[in-house]
Amino acid sequence: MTPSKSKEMTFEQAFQKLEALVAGLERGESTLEESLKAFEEGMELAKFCAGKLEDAELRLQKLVKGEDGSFQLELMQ
Amino acid sequence: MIGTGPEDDFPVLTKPSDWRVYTVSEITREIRRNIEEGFAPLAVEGEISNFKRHSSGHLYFSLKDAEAQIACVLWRGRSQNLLFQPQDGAKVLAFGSLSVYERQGKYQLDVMWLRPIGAGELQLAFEALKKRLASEGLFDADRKKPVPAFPSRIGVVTSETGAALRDIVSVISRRAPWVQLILRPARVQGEGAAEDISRAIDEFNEYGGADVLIVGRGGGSPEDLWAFNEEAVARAIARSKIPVVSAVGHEVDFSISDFTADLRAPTPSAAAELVVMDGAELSEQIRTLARRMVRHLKSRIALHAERISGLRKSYGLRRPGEGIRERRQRLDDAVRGLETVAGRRINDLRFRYASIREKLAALNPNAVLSRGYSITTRMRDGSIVTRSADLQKDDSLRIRFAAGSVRGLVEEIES
Repeated sequence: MTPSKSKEMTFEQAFQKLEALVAGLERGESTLEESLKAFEEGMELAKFCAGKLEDAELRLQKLVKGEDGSFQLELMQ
Repeated sequence: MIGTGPEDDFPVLTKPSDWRVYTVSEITREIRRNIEEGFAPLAVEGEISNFKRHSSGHLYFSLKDAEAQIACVLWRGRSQNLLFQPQDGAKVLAFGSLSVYERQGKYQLDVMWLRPIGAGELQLAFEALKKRLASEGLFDADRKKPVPAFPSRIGVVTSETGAALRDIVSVISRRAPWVQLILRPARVQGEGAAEDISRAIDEFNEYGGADVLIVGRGGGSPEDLWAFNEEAVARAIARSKIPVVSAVGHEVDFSISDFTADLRAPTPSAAAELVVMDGAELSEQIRTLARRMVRHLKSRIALHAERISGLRKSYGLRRPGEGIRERRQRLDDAVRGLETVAGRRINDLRFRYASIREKLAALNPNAVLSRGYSITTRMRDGSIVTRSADLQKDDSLRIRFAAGSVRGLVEEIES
C-alpha cells in the first residue's frame, strides 16, 4: 500500500483494516512472504491512524442554508 | 335616531347626518382591522370546551376560564402537527393571533400552536403520542441505524447559545479533536421549536456532510423540553438517513425523540462521549495492534530461521540473489516502521532481528527454485551437487524443481 492511498482512507476504514489484518496475521494461514507484506501494510496503517489522532484542533462550523438552497459552512469561534 | 333631550341617556342629535352610519359589513371590517392590527401574536392559557373536529380537519373549540371564553380555531395544516388529542377540560396554552370571522361577527383566536400545560396533561399527551408512534413501529429496534464507530463529521442540532453545545464541544475537543463538528443552530424551546429542530435534521440530510447527528438540549422544565416530545421532531428523526443520537435534558428525562432516535444518550455530554472514541484509548489500541504484529512476526521469523538453518546444513544451499536483497531491504523498512509507530519498546528489535535477518537472507529454497534454479542430488550418496567435478559420467541424478523432480544420468562432464 502506498501512503497516498492511505490518505484517502478515513480513520475508521484504516483502523478496521488494521484490526482485520492483525487478526489475519495471527491466524497464521499466510506464507511468510504474505505475512511480511501484511506486516508492512499494518505498520503503514498504524502510522496513518496514529497520525490522524495527533492531527488538529477541534473545528466547529455552522451549517447555513442559503436562499438558493445551497449549503455553506461558516467557521465558529 | 331621535333624541328627546339632554336628560336622556341618548346623545342629542340635531341632525341624523351627525351620525356616521355604518353598514354591518363596514363596522365589522372596522372592528376586524382594530383587532387584527391591535394585537401582536399572543399566548392564551385556558381550558378547552366545546371541542369539535370538523370533517374538513379543522379544529374548533373555546378556551375558557372562570369568567370568560374565547373562540378558537386551529386549521387543518397545523392540527396535523399536534402532539396530543385535545379534548374538553384539557388545560392548554395556545399561541396565535386574534382574528375576526366577519360572517358570524365573531372574534376568535387563530391558533398556530397548541400544547397542554400542567404535569398531568403533559404526561397524558406524552403517553398518547408514544403509544401512537410505537404502534406505527417508529421505535422498533430493526429501524435503528448503527451509529458509526469512528465518525469524522458530527452534526449537532441544538441552540447556538445553550449549555448543550458548550458541553458537546468540550467533550469532543478533549477526546477527539480531529473530528469536524458542524452545528445547525435550532430553537429548542417555545413556539416553532419543534419545526425548527425537524427542519435542521432534514437540512443535515439534504447537505449530506455528517456521519452522525446529535439532537438535543440541556436540562429544563418539562415545558422547556417539550419540543422533543412533538411529533414533527419524531418524524424528522425517523426519516433521517443519518443516524441520530438523542440527548435531551438530564438522565431522568425521557422524550419521544429518545425513543425514535437510533441511540439515546442521557445528556448532551454523554452523547458526545458515546459518539467519539477517546483519542488516548484509540492510540493505546493502535499500539497494541502494532505490538501484536511485531510479536507474531518475531515468532514467525524465529520459526523460519530454525527451519532454514536446518535446510542450509543439509543442502548447503547458498544462492544470494536479487530477491534476497529485496527481502532484506523490506525487513529493514518494516523494522523502521515499527520504531516510529510502536515507540521505544521495540527499538531493540532491530538488534534482535540482525542475526535472524542473516538467516532470512537464505530464506526458503522454494522461492529460489521458483525463479528457475534447481537442486541436483547425486543418487549414490544423496549429496547435493554444487560442482560438476563431483560427478562422473553415468552418475545417477535427481533434479528437484520448484514443482516436482526428475531422475537422469550424466552423459558428459563439460567442465
